[in-house]
Amino acid sequence: MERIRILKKFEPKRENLLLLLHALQKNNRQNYLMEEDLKSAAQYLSLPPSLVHGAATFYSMYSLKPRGQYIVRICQSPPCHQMGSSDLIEEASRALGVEVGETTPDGLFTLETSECLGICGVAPAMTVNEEVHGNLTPERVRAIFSEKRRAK
Amino acid sequence: MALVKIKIDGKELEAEEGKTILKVAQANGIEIPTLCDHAALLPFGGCRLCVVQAGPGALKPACATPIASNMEVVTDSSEIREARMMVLQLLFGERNHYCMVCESTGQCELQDLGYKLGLDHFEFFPYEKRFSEDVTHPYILVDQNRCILCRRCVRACADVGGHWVLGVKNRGYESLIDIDMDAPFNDSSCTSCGLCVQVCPTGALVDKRASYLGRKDQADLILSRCDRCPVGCGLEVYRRSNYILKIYGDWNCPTNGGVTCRLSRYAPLYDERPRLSTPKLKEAGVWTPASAEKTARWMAGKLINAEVVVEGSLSNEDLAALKSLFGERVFSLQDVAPPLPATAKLQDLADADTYLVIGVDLNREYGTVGSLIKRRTIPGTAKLILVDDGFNSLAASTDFVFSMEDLDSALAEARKGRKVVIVYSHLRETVAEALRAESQFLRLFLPYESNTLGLAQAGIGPHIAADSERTVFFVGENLRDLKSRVRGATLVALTPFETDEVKAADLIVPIPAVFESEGSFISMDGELLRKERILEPGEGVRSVSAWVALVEAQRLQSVVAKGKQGGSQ
Ligand code: SF4
Ligand code: SF4
Ligand code: SF4
Ligand code: FES
Repeated sequence: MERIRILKKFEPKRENLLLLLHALQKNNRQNYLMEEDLKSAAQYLSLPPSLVHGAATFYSMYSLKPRGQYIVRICQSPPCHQMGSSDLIEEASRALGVEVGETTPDGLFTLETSECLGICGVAPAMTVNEEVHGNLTPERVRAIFSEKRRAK
Repeated sequence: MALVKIKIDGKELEAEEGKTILKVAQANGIEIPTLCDHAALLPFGGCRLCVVQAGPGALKPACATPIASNMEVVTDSSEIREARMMVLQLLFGERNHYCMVCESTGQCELQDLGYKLGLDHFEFFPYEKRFSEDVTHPYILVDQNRCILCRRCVRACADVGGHWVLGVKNRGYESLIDIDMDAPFNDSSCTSCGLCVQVCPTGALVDKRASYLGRKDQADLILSRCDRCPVGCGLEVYRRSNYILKIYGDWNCPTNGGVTCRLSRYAPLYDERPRLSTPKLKEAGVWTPASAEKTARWMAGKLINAEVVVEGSLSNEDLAALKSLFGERVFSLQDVAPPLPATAKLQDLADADTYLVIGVDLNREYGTVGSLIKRRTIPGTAKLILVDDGFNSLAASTDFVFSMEDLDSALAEARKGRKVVIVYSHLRETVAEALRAESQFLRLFLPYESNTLGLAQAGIGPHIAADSERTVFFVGENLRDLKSRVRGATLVALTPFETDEVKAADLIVPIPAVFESEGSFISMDGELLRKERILEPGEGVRSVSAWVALVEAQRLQSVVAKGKQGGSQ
């Protein structure tokens, strides 16, 4: 099974939990961790389910709800905020037609916010999956979304 | 460890290096307020109520800071008081701490600290967000709105109970107690050991049964032993007038160190079987209440050739009384002898590296043994190997599960260990044979009932079912299938409960239920333990020994009467 193949890439040590959860989430077409993922991770690492569930709900990079193909995370830490990230969030919300935390009906985008991405030099910034975008303006944000739509 | 000199509040002290400031202070009568700390749990350092000044720099949590040579500690100053008050304000403000509608009021550590540290107003607007309650568990109520996230329950469930049911989900303000993976409590892996309730300092986890029946300090505390199984855990029983408020594990008991299980803490309080309150005789097919005297006379008249069959939970005193009446004709309902003689004691579990559990679900029976094992195997300190054919909830806690058929593989796995303990109760003959050959393994036999070893010592062996013309007496709490054990005989049942099963008898006689009698029994470790009487039984109820005395008296009377008759003729 696919899940087992992914698990087997990691040594069954508890310190691999976060990496393993990332791998499982990435493998999921809807970018989230299913209950089965958590259960199998717990079993593979011999960890109590509550501990795995606790970790998966603690870190904001994991989701236990289905998400879009692209996870848009706009930084809202002070430097980005100073540089107008709340306008970006509003614009993104308008452009995608969803609130923060929601997914577009076509399953393409999920809009999220994030704490400092560590690239304050190019604030305001956001990530789209693993891509990092800096020096953003509302127009740039729209343009990035359109690119992604076309690439689909 | 080396002794070092330190100063606390100007007092010069000597203490072991590496001990926490809190432990040293407590040992020397210096009080430091705490909340997340608990004597039975490892230090956590989460609540910051215990902050003290220890050397330069920020205040440090006394419960999690080890002492060092020449350390100077100050436990009280305006800065410290302010810091503690801020913690209290935040805790009281965050969730529902309107004490007057909380079950824990008057026995809550948070509330106590509010009084002690002088909290006289709420600094922050209290309780803005409401969280869920979980009422699904049969015995325990979870109110997240009263949780202060001290994680005592999480630590007790994992480190002491070995169950690892509880965790914490989400983070920051949204943090909540997690049950497995967000499961309803009733559908979780909880074994109902009750430890979490016992350690919770607030009203977030409460015993449903005890709710609004009174507070601990209004109750008498009786230290007793659990006689629901042969482990014999030490219990703290809280009694108020003639009812039990709650039952806690006794932290100071060497047998269980505070751990207990559902069978001691909850099951007896939820026993709904109808009580038998007066003796009843079946006369021409109709059940008629009988006086104690009539009952005793009736029984005395049936003693010739009679025999008595007992459950293994009877106390040594009751067994002795029955032996005085029935002589050698006292038998056990269950087996008495172990399939393999034991070579280990409970304490051998503490440092074994492999446990081979055969056919016992330790989450359901002998719960404390399960805790002693699981708290070492789940973190990976030791290995649990399970051999069972039916459903066994322990299977969820280990990768090494084998069927009886595959015993050889289980043994091969066990042989990799250095100190291996086999844990077993009933065994099939073939399995016992195979295990006998592994003489290098220690054997921890779980006797079938709480006083099985007492029965064995008294020379009481199993009863053989047979047709009989004699009268057969049965004594126990869970009597069933009486007719199938003896056909044709007159049957007497001495039992606390008036179930349909006991009505197969011709006479039913009320005896005390679990908390209504005292007595001694021999635990699985061979220790003579004593159970205390907590409650007064109803008027018509008499202990087995008391019934025996009445029957003796009746027998004597009839002998004397006969003697007189003989003399006058
Ligand atoms: S009752 Fe025992 S097993 Fe259940 S959650 Fe509480 S501590 Fe854990
Ligand atoms: S439920 Fe009780 S013991 Fe558990 S974290 Fe909350 S307050 Fe502490
Ligand atoms: S393990 Fe046995 S003695 Fe201990 S509490 Fe449970 S039933 Fe009672
Ligand atoms: S008691 Fe020390 S931090 Fe909570």
